[in-house]
Amino acid sequence: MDPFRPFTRWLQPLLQHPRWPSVRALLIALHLLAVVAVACPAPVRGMNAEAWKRPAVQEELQAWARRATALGHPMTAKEVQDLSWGVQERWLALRKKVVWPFQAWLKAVNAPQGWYMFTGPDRDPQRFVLSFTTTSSSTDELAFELGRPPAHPELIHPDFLDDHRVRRALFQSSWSRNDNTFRLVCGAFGRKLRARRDDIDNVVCRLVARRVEHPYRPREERPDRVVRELILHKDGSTTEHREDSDTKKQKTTKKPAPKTPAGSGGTP
Amino acid sequence: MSEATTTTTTTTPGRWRRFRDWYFGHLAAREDGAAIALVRIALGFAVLLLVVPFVATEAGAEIVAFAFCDDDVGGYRGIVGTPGIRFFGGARPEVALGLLTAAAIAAAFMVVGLFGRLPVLVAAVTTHIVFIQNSDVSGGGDALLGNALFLLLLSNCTQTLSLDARLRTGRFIDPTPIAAWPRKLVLVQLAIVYTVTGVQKLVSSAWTPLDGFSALYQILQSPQWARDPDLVVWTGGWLVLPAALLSIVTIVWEVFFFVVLIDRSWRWLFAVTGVAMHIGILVLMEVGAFSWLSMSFYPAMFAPEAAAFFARWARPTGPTPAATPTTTTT
Repeated sequence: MDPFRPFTRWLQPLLQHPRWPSVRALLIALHLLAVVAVACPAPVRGMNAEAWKRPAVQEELQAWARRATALGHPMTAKEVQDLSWGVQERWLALRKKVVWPFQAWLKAVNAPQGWYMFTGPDRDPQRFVLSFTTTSSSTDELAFELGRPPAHPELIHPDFLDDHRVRRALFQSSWSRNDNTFRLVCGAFGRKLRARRDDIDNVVCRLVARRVEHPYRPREERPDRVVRELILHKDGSTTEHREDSDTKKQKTTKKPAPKTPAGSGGTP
Repeated sequence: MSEATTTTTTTTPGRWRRFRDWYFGHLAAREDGAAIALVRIALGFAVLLLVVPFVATEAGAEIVAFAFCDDDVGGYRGIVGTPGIRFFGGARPEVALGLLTAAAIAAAFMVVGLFGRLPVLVAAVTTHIVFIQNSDVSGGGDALLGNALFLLLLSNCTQTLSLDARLRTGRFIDPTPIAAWPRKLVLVQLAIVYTVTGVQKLVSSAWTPLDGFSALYQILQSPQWARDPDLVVWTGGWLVLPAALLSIVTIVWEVFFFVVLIDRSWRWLFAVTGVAMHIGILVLMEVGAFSWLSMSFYPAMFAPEAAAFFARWARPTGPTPAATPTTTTT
């Protein structure tokens, strides 16, 4: 019942050629070489200057600076950062020269090799919070806060929020190199809410940061901070506020953002 | 003395020759197909777990639209679509769900072992076309799926434990040996996945004594990935020590996973630890089908054991056949 059998039969002369074992050995060796070369640890998506300013990264740099100092090589976090950035840039440049033909092969057979999972904890994670006001009440009503059951399951289904693809999109809202991701995700949730309730006035998306509890510093103060806020008004205009900028920006939504090619983007 | 030395020098193969013989020996080796068949069955179940919730539930359809489709039709971002999905009609929910339905049917065929490698090819193509539309929502699970299906495609994975075997021989179990190298590639790939993941973790002080192996304690508070980000804090410090111990086990297990390629005797320990860890991940975190996909590689570690286990059903009548001709068992 193997539909490939006729194809295999057609290939028999090739497979029975005395040179075939050598050719197969070469092809498998090249595949293994490709897998090992491309899988070699490299910060392919980590060279993001903005992301390096995040507390999660800065605290790592401080930890390594302390360790280097303790070992008799006094260093500041800034020096560790410059050294690390330089080494990684050179490593990535070298790697790029070596792996490009292998990457083409692995892409063709869909065997990507970027293995990095929970490389380090995000010590200052930002959670996506969606709320709205209605035409009858200007009080903010919570739709959901990531990590908790939705307050309005009829608007946002719990299974939808639990899914790791949706969580990934919400994660990208705070970590993506593309600053626009937060607005895109917020816009999609805004459309969902308005499609399900007629009386929604403003849709408010927030990224709220809160340090995780460190096991050895349990009594540390961990206040919530609104890092970013976007209000989608009913008339199509938006108001945005960022923690690092004191000024609020009021702007009317212009034409939609250009379509991005499929497969673009990155995951820290 | 001098004559003996000369004889030894001329008859001992050089290092390159020894390596070549070793390598060609592995590629020429044939073995019972039970282990790779178990990989096929486990992977089929993992694909079903991955795609059935998308095609069978309302929330699933909404997720597909949100994650992989254009913003005109429920997506969160504009997606032009790859040529693959444009061929079927574009990055639209009905197209993506149609392709995932085909993947689910193919996965069911993989489980029962019908139509040889065709279902593997269908599952590989359809899932790839859908999941490539938005790499922002793609992760290690999709990469693992692509690799597993590609390697399975190289193997004669329905030789045994399959309806194909039943139709061909009248029995579900066919001990006819098949090429062993595809299974070995599966094993090498698994070792690379875990070892590289572990090595990457070493850049973070939280996975080291520098920060008291605090990684898991902190990661379990992540609102993005933890099923209950408040669990750790609610336990009031009770989890500090267990989380630190689990962090140590995780990093050691990952970094040294390559040992299973060198010494068979370690495989049970690494496999049991891996299953326990993946069950922990499934309970405490939401990372999609990653754990199921990882564990579907595990039978590749146990070719002789799988062959011996199923051999009892392979020869209930007639003379006892010769031992399974496995020349190398890496």
